[in-house]
Amino acid sequence: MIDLLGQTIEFIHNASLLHDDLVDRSALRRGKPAAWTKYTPEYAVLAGDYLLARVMVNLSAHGNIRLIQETAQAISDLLEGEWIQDSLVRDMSVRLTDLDRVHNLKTGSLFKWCLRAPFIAKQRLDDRLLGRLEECGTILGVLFQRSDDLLDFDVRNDEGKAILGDLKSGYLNSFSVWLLSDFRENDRPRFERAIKCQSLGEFKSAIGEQHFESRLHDFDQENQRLIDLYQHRLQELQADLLPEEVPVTRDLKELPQLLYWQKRN
Amino acid sequence: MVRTDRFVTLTGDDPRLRLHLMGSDGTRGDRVRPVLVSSLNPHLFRSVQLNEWTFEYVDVTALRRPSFFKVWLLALRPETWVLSLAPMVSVLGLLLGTSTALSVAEVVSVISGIIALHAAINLFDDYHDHMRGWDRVASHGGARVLAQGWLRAGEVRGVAWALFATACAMGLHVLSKRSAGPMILVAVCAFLAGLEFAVSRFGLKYRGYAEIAAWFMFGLMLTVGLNWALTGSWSLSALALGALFGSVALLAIHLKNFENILTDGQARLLTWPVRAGFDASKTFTVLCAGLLMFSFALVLVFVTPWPERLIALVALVSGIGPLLGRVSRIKSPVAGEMRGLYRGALRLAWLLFAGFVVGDLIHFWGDQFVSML
Repeated sequence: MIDLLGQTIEFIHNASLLHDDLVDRSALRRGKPAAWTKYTPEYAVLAGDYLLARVMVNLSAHGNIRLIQETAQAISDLLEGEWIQDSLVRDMSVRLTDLDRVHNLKTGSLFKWCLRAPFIAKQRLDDRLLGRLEECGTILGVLFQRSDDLLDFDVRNDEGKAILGDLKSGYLNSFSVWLLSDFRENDRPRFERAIKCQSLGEFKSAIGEQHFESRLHDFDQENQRLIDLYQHRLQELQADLLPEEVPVTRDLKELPQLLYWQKRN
Repeated sequence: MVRTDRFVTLTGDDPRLRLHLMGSDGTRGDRVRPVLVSSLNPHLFRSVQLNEWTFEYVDVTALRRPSFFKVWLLALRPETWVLSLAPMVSVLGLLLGTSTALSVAEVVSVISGIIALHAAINLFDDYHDHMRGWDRVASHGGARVLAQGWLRAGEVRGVAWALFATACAMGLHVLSKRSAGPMILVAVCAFLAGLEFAVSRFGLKYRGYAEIAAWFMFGLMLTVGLNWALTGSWSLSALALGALFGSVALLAIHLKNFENILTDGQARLLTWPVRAGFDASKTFTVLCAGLLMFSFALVLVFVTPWPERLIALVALVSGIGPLLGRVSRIKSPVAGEMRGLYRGALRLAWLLFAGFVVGDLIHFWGDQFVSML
């Protein structure tokens, strides 16, 4: 069962990456040529579809209908999130709550599945347990995405992600919105200047270095609040776990720190 | 450092829940306020019914709260008053124009009573949504002054009751001057409208009937009801005005539900936009606009055809054009242009209302001026 669950999430995730790279026209994935460039766009699409089909074949052979429903819902949410996110390109009035909703669909769906699926596979179908796991998954998804959005501004960018890629392609990510919302409301010319910047230096100059650092500090505080909320939810969750399941929370405790701060406690 | 003591989760049967919902934890006085934590998973709190509330203990001084005046302005939502004010004032204008005897006191009582009742309904709406836990869902709509911890639930409830009492007093004043039967019927209808829009007593919104309810309650019920209450008879003019302002309310409620199509869909709430889908809801907006224009044509036919009505027509067209253009440009349920659709419909309502008022004033002063000559 562990292998099946692990394979399922890897297939879903990789299918989404195969399609994503083609949709975004990204040439590289993990430092290597993306599948659609190495083979053809048609093969990339078909390979992604094949992986999703294999997920359904493998899970249906196992026979847990609830698990199949959960997986289908996760895939549906993932695709819905991708679709909606794509529609937000060049939408300069998007808000953080809107992006959080999208991230909850696109990224949170997979984290939620990872937390809930093992319990569903064991027929642990208590609404409260699954609800609390879902809330934890949502927080992990939002934190992961916000951390990824910070890379666009070279914050804790250990993996060397391209700078200002989102902004240059007309997409306001969560940190852009956090940085620029005041200007969007009160200083439109400055906002317009900032979104047209081609380099990080130019961008910081447009909005002010001090403003950038101050807002980064606030953003980190807000996300630390989410981490605290996650830990609280994890504590509440222990009341729903069987004694042999409680150790799982020790591993889950480390996750938000890893995802957001990219370090262990 | 992990601060898990800043949050607490209470179940529905926890004796501390009500105190927390009212804005206090019972131990730390006024400097710390429990603020409800909202979720991005609406179905957990609407359909699955996860019976728990998570609060964050927030230092009141750290709350980024607007000024006292602005907070109450947000809570009272005066921009929505037009939905009940416009139909009532248009009927008053109609009656004054046909030389129906109305005292200044009566007119003031009707207008202030309507404003007080509508403001009370807005506050009760927020209060009941908060106490039922619907603030646990992050969504558009409502003032969210309670959800953000800017006001305590007890304060909102107290002011709501005071406004309701004021509305009743104004109603009793008019009742004392006119025949009781029609007035009582209008009062009962207003009370039923209040129950639906303040407390969702009949759940019409979540069965896809909110728009129809709005068309009737903010339209015919108000115009025909008031006309009957003040004159003892009904008229085609009042019907036409009811159809017009009912259509405005229908458009406004539809756009309000359309703004929340994603959240309501996730919560499995069967509003009309959720049932119909994204594209069909956009089409329905166009149909509502068509109904509005048709209703205005009825007004031109059945309400004294003053040329000054054209001022209202210009106001209507100048408001509806940009609104329809905006709806046609929307590409997704979270697009920036989705936000503010309801406010756009309310702006249209205010424009139309202003058009009627200006037209009535010009007509009235025009008559006076001519008679002086």
